[in-house]
Amino acid sequence: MIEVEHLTKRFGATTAVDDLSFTVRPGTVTGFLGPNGAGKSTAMRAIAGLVLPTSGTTRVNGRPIADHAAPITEIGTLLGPGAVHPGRTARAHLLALATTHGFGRARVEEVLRLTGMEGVAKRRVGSYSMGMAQRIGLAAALLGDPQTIVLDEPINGLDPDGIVWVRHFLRALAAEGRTVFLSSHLMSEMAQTADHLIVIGRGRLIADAPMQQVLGAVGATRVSVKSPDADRLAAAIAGPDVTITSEAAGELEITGLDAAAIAAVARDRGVLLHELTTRTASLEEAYLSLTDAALEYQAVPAAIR
Amino acid sequence: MSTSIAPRVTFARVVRAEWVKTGTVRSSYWTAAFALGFTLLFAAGILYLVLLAPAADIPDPAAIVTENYGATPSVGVLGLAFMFAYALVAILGVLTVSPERATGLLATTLAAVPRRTPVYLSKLLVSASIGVAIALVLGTASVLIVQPALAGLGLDSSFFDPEVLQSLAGGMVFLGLVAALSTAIASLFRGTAAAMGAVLGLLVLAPALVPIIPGIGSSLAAALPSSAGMMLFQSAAQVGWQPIATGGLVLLGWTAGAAVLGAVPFKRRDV
Repeated sequence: MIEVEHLTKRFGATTAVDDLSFTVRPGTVTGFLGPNGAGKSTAMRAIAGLVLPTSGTTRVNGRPIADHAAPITEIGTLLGPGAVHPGRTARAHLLALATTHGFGRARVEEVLRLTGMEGVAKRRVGSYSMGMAQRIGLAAALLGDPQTIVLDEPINGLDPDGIVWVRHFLRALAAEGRTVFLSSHLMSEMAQTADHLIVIGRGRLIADAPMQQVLGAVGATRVSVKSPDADRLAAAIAGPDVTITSEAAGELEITGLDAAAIAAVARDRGVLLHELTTRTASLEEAYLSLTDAALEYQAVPAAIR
Repeated sequence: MSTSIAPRVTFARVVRAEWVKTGTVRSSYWTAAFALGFTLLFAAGILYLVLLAPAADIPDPAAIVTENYGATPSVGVLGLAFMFAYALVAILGVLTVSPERATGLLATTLAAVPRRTPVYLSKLLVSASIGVAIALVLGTASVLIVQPALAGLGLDSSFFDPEVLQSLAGGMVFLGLVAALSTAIASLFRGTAAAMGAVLGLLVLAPALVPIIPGIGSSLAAALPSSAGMMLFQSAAQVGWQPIATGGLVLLGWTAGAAVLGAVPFKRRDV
């Protein structure tokens, strides 16, 4: 569980995070979205205790991170691939981290195995590809077997195998009841991984809602239909709440009725259907429309709550 | 969980983690090896040069040695060794903290120990310990290497001569404090280059430049940390205890002051 309350962080004249409040709940994967410079990394670093807030508070599992006796068992963080000394081996890096909490070499070997790093663990980190550097960061985040995991762009630089692995891994962690909070610019990946979204722009909250609600808010669900009898079908389903548009002969875009209702009408009227597809807005469309509004109007947090 | 003992941050564990870090980068070994090699070469090498010179050039080598290294040449050799070594120890002191910030590793460290103060104190402690250890190894090696040469001239003193032991102990305190002072000063800076410049400027450059200031220059120079600290490995039998104590206290004061000053940004700065 992560609780952020009225968090504000200023760097000189720049306000990176502006009165931001949200809660990340256990048992879900929560995605953190926003344009570059929206304040995502600053907010994540504040949660980890690395950035000291100008005002406001952050709590992890009920307490400020510094008040926990064993911080890496409460929260595991991956905050960019750079947080390693290039001259040290992956094994030595993890061992130094493990030593602060009294974990031994056995736990280091466990997380190396878990992240598929055993083969390269004795190489110095400076020789790693970005994907391998990300894997050490993940290994470090998992070292304390934490209840809460915060990952800033964890799939940057990973190969497709790695991306799929991270997705399944994060879903499994959430299924165990842990709190998983991650940022990513890859919308398709976020759409497949996250259950809940927190969107910020210019340091302020734009949206904090379940994935389905964010997608639904952008455009109502549309149904596309292809039929040789399109005109007869359109006449049959027309109603006050139904919008029908047609781009080409034999094709309809319908909002206000779901696919099941349209199929039932088609059967009753004996209309042959070649295609019947439900189209939801993509996360990318949803995200762009949300953040566009924030950028153009410098909006007060909008209303999907 | 693979451990039966409850995982928890303790100061001893943070210190141990800092040791693991120091022991797992090559720059630590290179700098230490360089400090030892370079220093031994100079401190002991000069003496051997005198001895290897053709007899015609140096009719009375014993006189030349006592003239340059003092009445107890072993102590003189120790003094030279510590004077050569302290700049390298200062560099090691900077390397304990600066690259960690520069590479971003500090974020990983402080996320694990968000209270930060134990990390800072551990760094000072590890740095000082390395300084002390280098002084011990270096001093012992210097004395043992020059003993046979001095014995040939009838100038040898036992390694356990109180004068030699006192100089060695003083050198250990000197290099320990120099290392901790360097780490504390380096904590004030974000970059390795700036930290290196400040530390070497204060410890190496200032003692050469400050005395040039007319009038107050020489008294100011005596208050500089490295100049004052170098009194620590002088022989009490030759200079008396009072200047040794004064010099030691001046260096201790600098170190304590820098430690307090360096703690503030270490604790407050965003990582």
